[in-house]
Amino acid sequence: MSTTWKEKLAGQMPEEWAREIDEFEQQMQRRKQGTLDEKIFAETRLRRGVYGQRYDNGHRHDGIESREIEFPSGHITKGPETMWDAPGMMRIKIPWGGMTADQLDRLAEVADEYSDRILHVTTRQDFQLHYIHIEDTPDLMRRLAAVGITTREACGNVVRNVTACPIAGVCNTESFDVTPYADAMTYFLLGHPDCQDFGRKFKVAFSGCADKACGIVMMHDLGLIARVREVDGKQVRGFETYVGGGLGAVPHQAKLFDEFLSEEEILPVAQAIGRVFARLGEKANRNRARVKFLIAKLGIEEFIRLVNEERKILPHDDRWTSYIDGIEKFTENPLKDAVQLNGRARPEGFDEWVATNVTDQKQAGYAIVKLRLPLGDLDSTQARALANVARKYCGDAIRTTVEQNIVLRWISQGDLIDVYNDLKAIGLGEPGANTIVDVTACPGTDTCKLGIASSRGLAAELSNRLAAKSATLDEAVKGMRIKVSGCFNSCGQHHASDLGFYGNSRKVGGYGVPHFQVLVGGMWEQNAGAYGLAVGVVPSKRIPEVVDALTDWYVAERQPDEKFQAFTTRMGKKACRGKLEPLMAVPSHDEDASFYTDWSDSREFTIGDMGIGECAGEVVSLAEFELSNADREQFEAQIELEEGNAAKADERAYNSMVLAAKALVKTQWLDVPNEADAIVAEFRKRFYDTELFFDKYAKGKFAQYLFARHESPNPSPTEDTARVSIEEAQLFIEAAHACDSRIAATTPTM
Amino acid sequence: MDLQHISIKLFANETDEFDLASLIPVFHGWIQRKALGDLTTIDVADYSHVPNGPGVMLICHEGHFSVNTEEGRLGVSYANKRLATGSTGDRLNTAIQRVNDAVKLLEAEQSIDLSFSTKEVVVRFDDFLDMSNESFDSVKDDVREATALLLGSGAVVDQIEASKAGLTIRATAGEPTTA
Repeated sequence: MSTTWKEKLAGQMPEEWAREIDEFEQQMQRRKQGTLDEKIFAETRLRRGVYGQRYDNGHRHDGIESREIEFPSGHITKGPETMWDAPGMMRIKIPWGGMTADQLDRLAEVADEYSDRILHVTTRQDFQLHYIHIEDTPDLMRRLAAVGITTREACGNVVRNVTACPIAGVCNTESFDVTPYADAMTYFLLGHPDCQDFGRKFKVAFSGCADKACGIVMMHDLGLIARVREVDGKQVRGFETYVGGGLGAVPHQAKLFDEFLSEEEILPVAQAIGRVFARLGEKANRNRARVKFLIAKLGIEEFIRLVNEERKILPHDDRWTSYIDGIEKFTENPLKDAVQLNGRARPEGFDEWVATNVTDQKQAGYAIVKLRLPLGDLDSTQARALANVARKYCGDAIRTTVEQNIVLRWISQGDLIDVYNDLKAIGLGEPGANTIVDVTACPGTDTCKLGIASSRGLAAELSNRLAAKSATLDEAVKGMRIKVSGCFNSCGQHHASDLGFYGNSRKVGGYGVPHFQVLVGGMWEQNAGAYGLAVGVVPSKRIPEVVDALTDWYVAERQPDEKFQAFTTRMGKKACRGKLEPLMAVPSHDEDASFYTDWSDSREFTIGDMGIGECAGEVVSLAEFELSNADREQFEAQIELEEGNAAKADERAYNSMVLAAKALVKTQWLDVPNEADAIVAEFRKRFYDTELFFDKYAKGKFAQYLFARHESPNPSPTEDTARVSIEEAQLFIEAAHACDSRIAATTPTM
Repeated sequence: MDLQHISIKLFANETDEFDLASLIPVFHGWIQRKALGDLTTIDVADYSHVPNGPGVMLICHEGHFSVNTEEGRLGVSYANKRLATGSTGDRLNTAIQRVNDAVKLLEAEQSIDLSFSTKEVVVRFDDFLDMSNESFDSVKDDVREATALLLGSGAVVDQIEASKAGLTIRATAGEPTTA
């Protein structure tokens, strides 16, 4: 019998992958011995998909006080302020979301042994397993490698999982199947020497068509939409190519790089982009290090010129085109013959499920079946059973989606009733996939170190409430999407949805209160063709009322066939905010203490698990009053933008930052002058240089927005630049609120 | 053989629908008052949205406690993750002791109404390197002996058919139940 997984799986893993995992295990040993620097080890493990989790600094607020978690390995670290023994997250790359039944079985197995039995599908078609000890990770990687899955470059400043439409190849509206191209891109860039020196991550997506959302290419660093062009009487494949998109704290729509990049050119151009990004991208300030910032700095024309120049001098690589000969191998063969659904009796719930979860393929007689995973989760028992369902009806035609679901492809129409019954039996037959009840959420405060409010808790609450009344929901409302992030970093993709929410906090009477910023006007269609803008901050416990208020209003006043995005645009941000204002108030702690806890968490709410008790007080501080002025001014900036006044929008966004800075300065110096120069100088001296403004993770990032705008005003703001200014102002003001809360938490009051 | 991943489940007497979310403040309370003694408690995880899933979990460095509805039955589990030492019997004893401690705490909670049967225990081995569904004979005596703490001596042990899952064994105080 083998004594280790390494021995047992020898020869079953790709040689290079096996060697890399051995090397990682050796680096773990070196780190434990203290011969490898913790920062270097941190980046090393991230590039292997081994990520940190909340409380991995060894401290957790238990609702009464902050306590040290006494891990057995003492103070050995696996990164700065990251305890060796602290459980972590393993991110597992699933290129273009494609997986086999055997791979699903293996994921279930490692989830049982090393994790908490939950397989979580992410918004990048990855899987994540949580609560894993770092010493289990090499064997976990080996067991995945033996079935063709790598975790390499799942995290870190590298090319992340390459995503693609989950229905590529079977979609009615695609130009052609992008799967082989996404696969070629994945393995060409994986570990590529030109992609190892980025200042930040790099995300690539493929879409089969421009109108549908599946590939959401407009929010990617590199996005490719399939196109066919006739050249010399022949149909030639290529891609409409976009660069510099991204969500994060400050979202950017991607810019057109090339209207038609031929299939022979996509890999070398991606390599050239990698070289330019590695050479010229920001390295020191990671908050400005994504490609979008480089393009904003250089201008798209100069960026394209530099990439094209780089392309010309690249040494030839056969892999650029050799994959094209193998495209046919990605053709899926159905397991069952195409048979129409006959007159069999339909079980209860079947028709409702078909309406939302089943789509006809372009191949007659076959269907795509979407599985709605609540919060992107399924457990190991469900995963094994699902693998068996796939084996029975469609073989290995399984894909994860960026909406945290799973699809089965090539289901014979005649099998739909049996598939429904089998899925229902394992808890995966719920209707409502890709509708308003199918709420997307990042991990938030459940497991993420950066989470501010409970995105999963809110998403579960909304989903439950909406599902309970789904039979009476208006059809237009059913078609909406809700996406939730636990902080401004947008992992829940809140900008690209009809209703988006991201977590933040407010201080009320000396207590922390979880809140969510509400965004409207985002668009999932057209590959995330528009981003939502913030309209107001509402206590977390009132967000369900926000959803009701906005959807009721939409149903009552929408025009025929008007989508929610168009409706909110027509109504205007001011009217949207008007619907929220009655819901912004927070009852006192004595009146209703439930507002001071988060969803699915009974502890008293604190930000950042700072662990210092907050003193009670029933007065609203001067800073809170002043910060509310900043909030108001920032909202007016949005109105100006909406009315087409880019210059005024830019100016008001700047003013709102100055007002927020003034609010903080006033807590130390009541008589601060009213001039911007003085306010910014005092803010820098009192809050930036002293690092009082810094939070644990973002440090002074958001203050840079104020300094940059104050020192270099944009002489001719455009709609795009004004939108960025508004987003930056929003983040600066949020940071000011958080700073005020932190200071108040450490300052005893009466 | 280094069996670390042994899990034990006891079943609730209540058959009515139970609100799993009511366990969230209970488990947070255990962390606050260090109710589990020397175990290193970390956090509470809510998976109540997963049908017949792991329910609400209390994550510890050594292993995970949960009140769950896995396999469609409400119960309490302890799944060891690391630091198990001694013979297989010793490790089983430790895991059973921990789930028994959790049972006592849960039954004493005023905010919930839960009690657990001591007539049936399900033991699962998720150590896939060392154990498989063919390993039943190698551990059945250890399981019978260890579960005596809860079931009394002479428990009947049967293997539950669980294709591709870890070796799963049911121990009952009386006649064997149908798998």
